[in-house]
Amino acid sequence: MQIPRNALDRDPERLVRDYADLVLRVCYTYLRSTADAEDVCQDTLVKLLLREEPFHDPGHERAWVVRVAANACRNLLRDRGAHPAVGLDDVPEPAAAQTPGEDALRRRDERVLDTVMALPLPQREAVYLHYYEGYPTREVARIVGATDAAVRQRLSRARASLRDDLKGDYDDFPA
Amino acid sequence: MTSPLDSYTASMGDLHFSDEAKARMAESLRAAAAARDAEKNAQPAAPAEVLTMPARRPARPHARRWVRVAAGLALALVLGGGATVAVAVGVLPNPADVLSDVFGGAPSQTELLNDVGRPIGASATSNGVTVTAEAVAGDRFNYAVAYSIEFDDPAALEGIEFHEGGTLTYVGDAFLRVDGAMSGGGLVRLYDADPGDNTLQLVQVMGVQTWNDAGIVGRTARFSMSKLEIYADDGGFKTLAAGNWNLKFEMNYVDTTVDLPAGQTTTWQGSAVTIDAVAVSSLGVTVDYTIDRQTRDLALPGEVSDEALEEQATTIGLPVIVTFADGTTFDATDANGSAVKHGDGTTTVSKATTYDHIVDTDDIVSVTVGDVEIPVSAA
Repeated sequence: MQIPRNALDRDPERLVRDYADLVLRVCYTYLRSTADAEDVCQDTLVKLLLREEPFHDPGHERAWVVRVAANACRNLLRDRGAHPAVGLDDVPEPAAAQTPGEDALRRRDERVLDTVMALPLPQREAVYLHYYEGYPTREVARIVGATDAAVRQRLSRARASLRDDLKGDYDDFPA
Repeated sequence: MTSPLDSYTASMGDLHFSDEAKARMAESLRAAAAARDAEKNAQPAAPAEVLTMPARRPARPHARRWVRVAAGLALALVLGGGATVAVAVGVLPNPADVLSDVFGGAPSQTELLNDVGRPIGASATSNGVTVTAEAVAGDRFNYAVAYSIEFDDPAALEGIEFHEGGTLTYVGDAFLRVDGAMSGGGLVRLYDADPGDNTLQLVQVMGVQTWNDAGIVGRTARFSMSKLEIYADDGGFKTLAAGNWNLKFEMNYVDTTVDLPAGQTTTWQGSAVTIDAVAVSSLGVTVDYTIDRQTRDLALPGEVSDEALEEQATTIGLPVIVTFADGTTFDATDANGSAVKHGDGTTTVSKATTYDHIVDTDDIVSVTVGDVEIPVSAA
C-alpha cells in the first residue's frame, strides 16, 4: 500500500491555530462547560507534539485530535463520578457578536443550543461530530467507539428530540 | 436559517478561545517542544535528567505544567513498553471456545481456531462487574477478541429481553486501541452464551489500517469501557453496567497472512485502477488499490445522501470476492476501509475484513478484485 507520508509540521503556532477552538468545542460538547478546556487543550496538543507516528493527511490529524480531546473529557467525567459538575443553567453561552434587530434570532439560537446540550451525551457527541465537524456516521462511529448503526440511531433520536422540543420554532427539520 | 441544526452549528462556530489564551497556549507549547528537543539531545545514560527540566525553567504555571506533561511523556517513552494490567487467573479457555460463535463451530474450524488464536486472560473489575479478555485471533490487519463480562450480582441479568440466540443490541462504548492502528471498523457482538450464568459475552471483530503497514501482530492493545448499554425494545437505552474498565494485552496470535501478487491494472466505472496489495489469511482478506478518481468528501452536513453515497462508490466500491475450495465465495466489497486522496488526483483505498468463518489458507482459491482474479496458488 502506498501511503503518502507528508509530515505535517508540528509548529506550536499552527497546532494552536488549527486545533485550540476545536478542542474548546469538544470540551463544551462533552462537559457542557469550557472551564477545563485550556487544560484539555494543553494535554491534547502536547500529545500531538510528541507523537512520533506521522499522519496521513490533515483530516487524519484532525480526527486524532478530536478523539484524544474527547477521551480526555470522558476521563474528566469519570473523575467527577460520570456526572457533569456544571448544570445547564450555568453553561456559558458562546460569545457572538450581537447586532440590533437580531435579538429574536439570537434567543432562538440560544434555545436550540440549550436543547442540543440537554441531549444525552451519546447523542450530543454524535450531533457535534456529524453536524458541526461534518464527519460521516462511519467516521463518528470510529471516533466514539460505537457501531455505525448505533451512531445513526443516536442521530435519529437526537433529531426526534429536537423536533419535539423545538416544534413551532422551525419548519425545516432534517429527516 | 431554517434548520435548528444550522442554528446549532452557527452557535458552536461562535465558540472560541481569546487571542490572549491562544498566545498563552502557543507559548506553553513551545516550552513543551523545547523540553522534547532537550530530551532528544540528552545522553542516553541519563534519561532521568528529563525530570529535572521543569525546575530549571522559569515559566508561568501553564508553561510549567506543559513541560511537566512533556517530560512525563518523554520519560514514558524512555522506559518504554508496559506490562499487562491484569494477569491470568485459573485455566485459560481455548480460543475456539470463545470465538466459535463468530467463526463457526465445525470441528475442523475449532481445530483451526485453536491453532491460530491465543488465550489472553487479562481482566479488570469495577462496580461488581469483571471484564476479561478471553482470547484473540487475527491476521496482519484483522482481529477478533472475545471478552466475558461477569456480574457479581446474580440478578443483574434478570428481566433483560434477549433476542433470538441470546443476542442483545449493543450500544456501549467499549473501545480497543491497538498500537499502530490509525483507522478501521468492524462489528461488536454482545450476547449471552449461557443463560444459566451471570456472564455476557462481547466480541469485537475489526479490520484496521496502520500508518506504516507494519501489521498489528505483537502490538499492544488497550481496552477501555465506561458503560455497557443495550438498546431496549421500548426504544430506550438500558445501562447494564457503568464503571471504569481498562486492560491491556498483546496481540499475540499466529498470523497466517499470505501476500498475493499485486501490481495488476484494471478499470472501475471508467477509472484506471492499480492493485497495490492483496493478502489473505485464515481469518480475512486485505486489499489496497489506487484509483484514478476522487470523489467529494461526505463530510458536510446534509451531504450524506444516497446520491453522494453512490458517487463515493465509484471510488471505494470496487468489488472484492474471495473464492474458497468448496466453491463458496465471500463478498468483501463493503469491507472496513479507508480512502486517502493524493495530490495527483488519485485515491488510495484500503479494505480489510474477516470472513464469517475460519478457513485453512490452503482452501482459499483466489481473490477477485474488480475483474482481476488473483489465484492464491500464485503466492
